[in-house]
Amino acid sequence: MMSDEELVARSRGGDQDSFNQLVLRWERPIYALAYRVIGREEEARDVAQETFLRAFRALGGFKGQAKFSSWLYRITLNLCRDWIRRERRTPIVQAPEGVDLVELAGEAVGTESIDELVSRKELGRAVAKAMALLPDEQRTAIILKEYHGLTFQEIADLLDCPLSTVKTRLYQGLTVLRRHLQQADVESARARSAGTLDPVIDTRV
Amino acid sequence: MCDKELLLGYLYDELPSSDRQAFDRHLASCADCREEVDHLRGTRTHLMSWAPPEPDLGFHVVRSATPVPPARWWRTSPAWGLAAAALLTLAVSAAIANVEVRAGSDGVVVRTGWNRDAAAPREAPVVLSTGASDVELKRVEARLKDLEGRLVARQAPTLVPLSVSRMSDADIVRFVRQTVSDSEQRQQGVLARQILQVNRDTETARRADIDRLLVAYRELQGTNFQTSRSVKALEDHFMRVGLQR
Repeated sequence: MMSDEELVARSRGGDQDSFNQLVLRWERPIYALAYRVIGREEEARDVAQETFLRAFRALGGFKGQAKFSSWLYRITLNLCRDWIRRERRTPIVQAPEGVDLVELAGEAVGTESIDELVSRKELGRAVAKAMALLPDEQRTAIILKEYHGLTFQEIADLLDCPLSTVKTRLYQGLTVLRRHLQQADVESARARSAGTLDPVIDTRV
Repeated sequence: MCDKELLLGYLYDELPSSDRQAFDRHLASCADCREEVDHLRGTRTHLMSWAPPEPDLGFHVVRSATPVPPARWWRTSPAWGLAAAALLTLAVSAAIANVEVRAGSDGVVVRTGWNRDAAAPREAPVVLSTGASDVELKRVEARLKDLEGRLVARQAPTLVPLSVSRMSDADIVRFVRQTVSDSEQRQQGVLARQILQVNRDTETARRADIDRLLVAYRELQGTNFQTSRSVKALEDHFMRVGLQR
């Protein structure tokens, strides 16, 4: 399997197929990044597509000073930032229509019980809601660390901020998240004992 | 005063081993830090539950330096375009937001809406198309069904279910009749015939990228086509419904 650097070199030489291989390799992480930062599926898809468009156009100027993936992430984050600024609202989380047990039953893999799956989906939603409540910088730092495995230094380089700032954002973000998730836990436990699941709502902040 | 940066480094295993050992020793005697590390580990575990949806992305570049002449089929069959606009307006408003398509002598460019300012006409145009168009169509159909459901709930005028791939000629004609007013009967007949023509062409065209259909649609918006008022009204209606999701 060819490295990113090799594929980039070939792409710069005009080999479109090599670029498409890079796209194949990175489209999912790029989409995932955009989705978690913005909180909207369609817009995240647009951002991902636009990221690769721009990367393709700007390949000539990419000299490999940074990792190709970092370069892509930077483009994506800039696009997300633009979108958020443009829309002038905090990202919302698109809550799905509701817990469909039949659908979940179809998804059941291995030994997970329906209850466990339901809990996991609820938890996922709770996390999404809590993340949406964070300030942009904290949310972005946490996303890059937790879901993309970047080091503190890589995040600092990507966000053009000091190392200590990254750590502060991560620490504060995690602390706030913990509080929100504790709250969500309490609420859903109460709802469950009352016989009703949490109503799923569009969370606009 | 316990060092939070160290704690964080410890939590994410980014400490050099000497620091890590030192912090281990600290934890042995500091209940607060122990508790905090525990809590934050729990939070990190919770974070793992948040997965993005699994869309069918399938981006790939299909053209690069050579300019793309606009596909002949839409250039020479304006009727197709008009009828397609009537049907696919819904797909556009419902399924794909903020996509801008420009077609010109330099080729075809697909962009997202907010990139309008970054137009660079001298650059080689790039067409980015989605992959499996079947899945794309299914997505569109799902969106249309969703829209349809909402409309029925709001007691909007009843519409024939909009499944582009399964509409019979009769369905299409019925659909058109339901949406075009009496004063436009003549256009109605024309539109119906055009849509029937579309249906025959659509079997092939259906396999094409959604992006190319968008090109046709957008290009029509720029021409002097007298889109019937009712079709436009329909379009506005669906745009409003689509945006109220």
